[in-house]
Amino acid sequence: MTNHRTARNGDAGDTLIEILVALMIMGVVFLAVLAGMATVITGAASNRSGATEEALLRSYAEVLISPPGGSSETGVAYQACSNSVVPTYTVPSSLVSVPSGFTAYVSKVQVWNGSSYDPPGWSTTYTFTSGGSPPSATTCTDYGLQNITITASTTSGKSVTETLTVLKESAL
Amino acid sequence: MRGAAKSPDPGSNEAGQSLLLALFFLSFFGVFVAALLGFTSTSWLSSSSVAKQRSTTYEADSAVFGAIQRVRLASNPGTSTLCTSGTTANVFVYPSASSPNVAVGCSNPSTSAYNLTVTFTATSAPSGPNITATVVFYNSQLNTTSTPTGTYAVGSGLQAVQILKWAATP
Repeated sequence: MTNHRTARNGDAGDTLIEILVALMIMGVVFLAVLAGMATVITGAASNRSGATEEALLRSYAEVLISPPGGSSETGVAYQACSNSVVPTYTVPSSLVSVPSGFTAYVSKVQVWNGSSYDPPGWSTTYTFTSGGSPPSATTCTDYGLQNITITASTTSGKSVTETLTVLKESAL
Repeated sequence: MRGAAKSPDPGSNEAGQSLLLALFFLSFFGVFVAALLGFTSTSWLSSSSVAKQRSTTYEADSAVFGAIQRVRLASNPGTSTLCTSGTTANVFVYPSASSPNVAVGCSNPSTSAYNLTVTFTATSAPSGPNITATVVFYNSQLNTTSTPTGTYAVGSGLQAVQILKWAATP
């Protein structure tokens, strides 16, 4: 038999080699495909979380910078700081619906110093954590302008966090 | 002999077929994954663009709020030098995280009964959204006829403000 194949065309074992090469290529390709699919799935999930946080941040910010009052409560009152008062903002769930698996909160409040405007200077900065205790009161004089940072993040799965900073002024 | 001639012959008719098949799958899945990655990339860029647009819009709003507050703190807005005819200096400049800082200038100031009416314009970026706001500052200590209702949340010297127009141009 061996002599017959060799004598016929000299291609003995070529198919086996081809199959082995093909299997090797296919193996590499499938690994690449799987990696690509994993990237796509991860990216899609991240984008979906980001889009949800985007909408959440906008809703939260609109309520936060709006003053309360009118026929329906649509905003949050400005909280002036003092030496004994820490401006703590909480948006009620009746005004902003936070989707399951996400959280949004005011993570930082900076109080304008009343003089610097290019760029504005902040006399006092308060930092908050989600679900944590508010910071202690400190020396603070309020000039009716606060720079507020809102943080939205996921509470489960892959961590995705976005922030938005808005300026809130005291009641007009 | 005819039957033998038609039988599979790796040495002639089907040589390289497996490799061609592998290359076909490689091309197919390559295009498939490339398309999926393209969708993901587009989605990600879109999300980033929307987030940046959102930030610049709120930064422009914030800059005008800052300008209003700065003029508001003046003891007598009607005679304030912050916004007088020919004033070109920025009233307020809000720092931006992703684009040039948002500068607010004022124009068309006019005074009436100690009140000041002025138009603020915030320019967030060369191609970004602009905010134009027309605002009246009431001198609550001198004007007793047209002070709007409202409360003064902070200190003394804060003047009542009425926003007549607030427009955003993309």
